[in-house]
Amino acid sequence: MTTGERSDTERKRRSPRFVRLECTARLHKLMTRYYAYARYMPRLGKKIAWITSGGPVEPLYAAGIIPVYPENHGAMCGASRMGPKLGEQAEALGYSRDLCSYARCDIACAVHGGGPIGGLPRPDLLVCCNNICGTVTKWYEVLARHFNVPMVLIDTPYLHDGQLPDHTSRYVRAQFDDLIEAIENVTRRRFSERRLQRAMGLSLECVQAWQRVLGYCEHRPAPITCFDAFAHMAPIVTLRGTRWAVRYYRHLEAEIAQRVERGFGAVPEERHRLLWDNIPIWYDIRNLFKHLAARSACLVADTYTNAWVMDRFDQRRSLDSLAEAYASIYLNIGTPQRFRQVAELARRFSVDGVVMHSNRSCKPYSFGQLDIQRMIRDELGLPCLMIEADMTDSRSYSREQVRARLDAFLETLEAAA
Amino acid sequence: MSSGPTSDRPSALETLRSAARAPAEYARSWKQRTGRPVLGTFCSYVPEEAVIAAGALPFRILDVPGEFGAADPRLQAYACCLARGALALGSSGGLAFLDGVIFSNTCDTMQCLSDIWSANVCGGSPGDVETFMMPIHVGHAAARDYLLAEIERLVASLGARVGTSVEPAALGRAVADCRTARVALARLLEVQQGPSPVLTPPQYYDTTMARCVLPPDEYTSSTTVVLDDPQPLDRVGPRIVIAGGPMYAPVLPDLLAELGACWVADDLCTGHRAAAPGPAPGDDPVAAIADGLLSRPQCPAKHRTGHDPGRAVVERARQAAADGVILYRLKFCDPHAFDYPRIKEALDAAGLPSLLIEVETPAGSVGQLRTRLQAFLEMLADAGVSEVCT
Repeated sequence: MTTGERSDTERKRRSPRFVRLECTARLHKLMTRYYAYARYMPRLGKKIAWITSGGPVEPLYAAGIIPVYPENHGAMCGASRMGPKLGEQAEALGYSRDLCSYARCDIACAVHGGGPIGGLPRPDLLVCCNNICGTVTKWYEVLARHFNVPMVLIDTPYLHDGQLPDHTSRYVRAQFDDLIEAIENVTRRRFSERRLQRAMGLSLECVQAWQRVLGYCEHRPAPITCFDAFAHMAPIVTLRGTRWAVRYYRHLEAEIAQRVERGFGAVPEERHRLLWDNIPIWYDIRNLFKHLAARSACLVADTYTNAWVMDRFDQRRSLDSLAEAYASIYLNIGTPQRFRQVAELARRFSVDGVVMHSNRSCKPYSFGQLDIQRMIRDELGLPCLMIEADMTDSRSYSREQVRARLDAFLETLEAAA
Repeated sequence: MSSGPTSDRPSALETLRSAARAPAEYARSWKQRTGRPVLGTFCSYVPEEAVIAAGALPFRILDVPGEFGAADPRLQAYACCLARGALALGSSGGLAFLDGVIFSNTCDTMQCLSDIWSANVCGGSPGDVETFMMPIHVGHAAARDYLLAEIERLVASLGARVGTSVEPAALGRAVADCRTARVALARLLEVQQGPSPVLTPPQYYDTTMARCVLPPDEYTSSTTVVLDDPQPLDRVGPRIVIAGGPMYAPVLPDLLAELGACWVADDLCTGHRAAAPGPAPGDDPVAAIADGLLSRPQCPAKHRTGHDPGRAVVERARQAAADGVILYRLKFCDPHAFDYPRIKEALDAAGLPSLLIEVETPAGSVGQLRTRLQAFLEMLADAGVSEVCT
């Protein structure tokens, strides 16, 4: 047996087990309830709105409309490894393989049905906020034509310097009036400002709880990894603005606090603390965890789950405040500002290196990464690795190549340590 | 290179051709001749009137190489060839004659490219980059106020760049000149889509591309000469409409001419969409610019409630009595790629044959393109269109 083979065997032998959070069962129950609720409540007259992940969900919850997230559905398609099959179905409809794989999966499911949960319930309204990308505008235009339902676009101009000028703020705010009007048309009820304030309060509570959950990774060893965060982010995306999500994150927080008290580390013998940039590679999450954990590396922070920390809500200024918060999110700001946020995460979570996912499906998240990578190296003095993949479509992924690059990167970290 | 007014059709066409085929040379010589700045733009939505009123020449960056080596360390390979080619050119000093670049939020790629450009082409100083944010929601009532503020911001910023404030009168003159040039182009395109086209496909390309570089007065004088002496083509092959994004190499028009087809109309951002004159301007030049931009034929990267890209292309093809439609797009251009299935569906329903041409680089794969075009034109011939020359 060669040294390399021996070392591989040893690693396999001591390959750490992914210790699930006990809350995972609760999460599954919650998400099953949510999707069942969305599927069956329309029979009782409830309305459904499909909304982008960075869209303002609070007015929907305030009006009793059930929001459904095609991007969350795309992530489920990826995690259940259905991306290539659904992607091919979309390509057969004429959609280029170069388009976002979330969009391709979702459009395929909308047209043909299928997918991990048998498709999403039919929408009565589409709410698209382009603060995350321009792709969603085109994607929702396709959906609006397919379902023949109204689409509300909230256009949030890009903030190159991170500042929100008054005229931008007014423009975004004016479009929220359209959203309210569309909601009133769909529900045939007058919109309640009081309920909106309540939903905003719950959203803020939820976001703060989520921030605390992620913040526990400041501890050494980190009680959870980003892989846990990726799994447990579903409620912050889909149920932000409800009691369900607040309750859920309280339970999660309590469990993680117990882990910290016990000195439990998600990765045994944690040696290398890493920061992840971009959307996860959903279909290979578990393998990546095992691969990194076997080398004592732990992903302790990421820019993706930290994007749902919109904590600038001011309930007294309800719609004005929502407009400002949603116009200023991570993906809607310039590269230098994004680097500053990465630097802040790196400092706060004491990371030893950064792994960037150059994601073929997400141009706004990925373009600029090469500059951010240089800044991380030059200004923070941290090693930074870039791997190329696609968040959902495994046809654009070479697992062995990624593993080899991770190994080489970790060896560099080991040498530096 | 001609720079003065042209009086006869051949020299007018030559002026348009030389500007279209060697835009950087034209801009360099203009700069040398006038001593005034040249500002690069990537998107037809950047208000050229603001640039002209500031005494500069707006130069649309389109003539970029198909080699991306210098861009690779800065931008991933799944960006479109326009972004990669421009970055490669800018990084290697090929755009050193520019005094700055104005980026608009055309698409995700261009939006990101502006920051990449600041960091890499401008040596980390964002001073040479201006940004102009065009509302995506062009049909929204609040878009106009937002756009007015953005135009005013850009005008003030350009004034500061050239060291003087841009007077409303200068802006008014620029609005009038640019509108005259757009009207001239629109009239020429109107003639072209009529029963007696007057431009060969390469001339069509030159006429539209020259609009991206020539100052409006020079452009108007050349185009007017062609309009005054239209000279209908002797033979008109299959009437083709080309719809899509920017087409910045003459490969396709040259092949259409070689194969005997007639390019009668387009729905391109380097042609018809940018040529729309817009409403007649009133007293306020800023309002005139805004109204012109908001009333343009729909760009796929903009949103207007109820807009159907399929219906728009079918209408364009019917106006031009087209025999077939070529859907032309750059690889990795998301806005156009999303619209393709709907446009194809609408064309099929209307009984209009179409051909999708997706290019990695506009100047590449001539042989393959020729074969596909030949097959398409033969198919049109089989369908009853006469005079196909293959």
